[in-house]
Amino acid sequence: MFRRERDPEFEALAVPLFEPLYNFAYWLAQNRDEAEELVQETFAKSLHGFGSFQRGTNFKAWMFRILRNTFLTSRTGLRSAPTVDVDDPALEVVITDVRDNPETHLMQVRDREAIERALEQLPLPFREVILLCDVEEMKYQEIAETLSIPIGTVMSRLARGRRMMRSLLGDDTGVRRKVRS
Amino acid sequence: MTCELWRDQIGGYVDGELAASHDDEVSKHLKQCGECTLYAANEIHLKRAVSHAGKRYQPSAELRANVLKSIGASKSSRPWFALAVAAAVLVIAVAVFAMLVSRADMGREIADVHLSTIASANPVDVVSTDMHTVKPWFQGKLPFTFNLPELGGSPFTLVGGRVVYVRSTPMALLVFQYKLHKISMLIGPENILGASGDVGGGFHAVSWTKNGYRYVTVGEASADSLRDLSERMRTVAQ
Repeated sequence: MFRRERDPEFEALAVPLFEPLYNFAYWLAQNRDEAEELVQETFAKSLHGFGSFQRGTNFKAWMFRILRNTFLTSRTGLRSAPTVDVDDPALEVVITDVRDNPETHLMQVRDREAIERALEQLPLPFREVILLCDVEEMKYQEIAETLSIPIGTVMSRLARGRRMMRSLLGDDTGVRRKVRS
Repeated sequence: MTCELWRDQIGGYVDGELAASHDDEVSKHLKQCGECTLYAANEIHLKRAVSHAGKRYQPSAELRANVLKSIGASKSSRPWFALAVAAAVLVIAVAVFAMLVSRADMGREIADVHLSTIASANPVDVVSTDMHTVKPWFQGKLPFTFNLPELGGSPFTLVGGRVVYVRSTPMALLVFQYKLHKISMLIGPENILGASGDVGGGFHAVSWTKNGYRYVTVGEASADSLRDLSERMRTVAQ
């Protein structure tokens, strides 16, 4: 890893994002060593490219975009990306409509482990958009910037990703079942 | 518009992404449609649960140190001072740990009471928006009494109440409606009840005591709305 001279402005903006970036990296890579590498590389790249960052634009989205692009070009990222056709309706083949049984759904939602397992099983394009929206509390516009996709795509992936989550949570055995991808 | 089309907008509504006019339209529809309200409640539950469960991974101190070093971030020039501060923090942390564990357990119990209430088809045994009906219903069922505030003109509506048992102790459970949210209020002996802030499961809790009794307001509504309801209750508490 290369090292540059200290930049107080970069430090003030980037250091508070250290933990969120690591959390996001781990969810993407699902592996501690890779998550650590991703975060270190992201900080190195972003410090190196900080001169090109346009002041007044969204620094958080910029950092997350660098991390995600770094992931996509990593071995794990390259392995996971082409396996998912996000427009394939078969992705939702396992969905059962839990609205018919809201009590079961509510009881399972409170189970943190079930939520974690369901998130792990979501195909990457849906997992990342849900994490950025619900965990990082990004607005749709920020998510679109981070993922370099149109806002309409953000909305449709959120809707489909949440339907998949409900499916995985609404079925007693769903949390152990893989969403087809 | 069909419910299916309304539900296409509920995601944006829950995420706070709808334009004000659309937001109002969805709100109006939800007031009239129980099924869509349930759908929206499920969406809110899922969002909150993911928001908590998604904060799962914590970086190591070693990684932090490496990253800070790589960007040339400043470190304390007085490492012994930092160590002393860390040691003091550790001592305090150990001292409060047992208390926190106990409070966390109670927080989970309170969240369970609330969750079982909102998930139940019959969440209350006395169903009334009239405090003069709900309060007398508890007479003879609890070893204490309490007052209820006038909620006319407020965003809160009394739904009813029932008796619940927490750690084998009878307590009053009042249920209020606030917009799409159900809010539970538990009233019981101060030495048994005790929770505030996050009680897990995506719920918030606000608590306060008076004359040996604790009042705990819990729900998925914002902490500000819970505080608002608590304040109204506090003004009439005996």
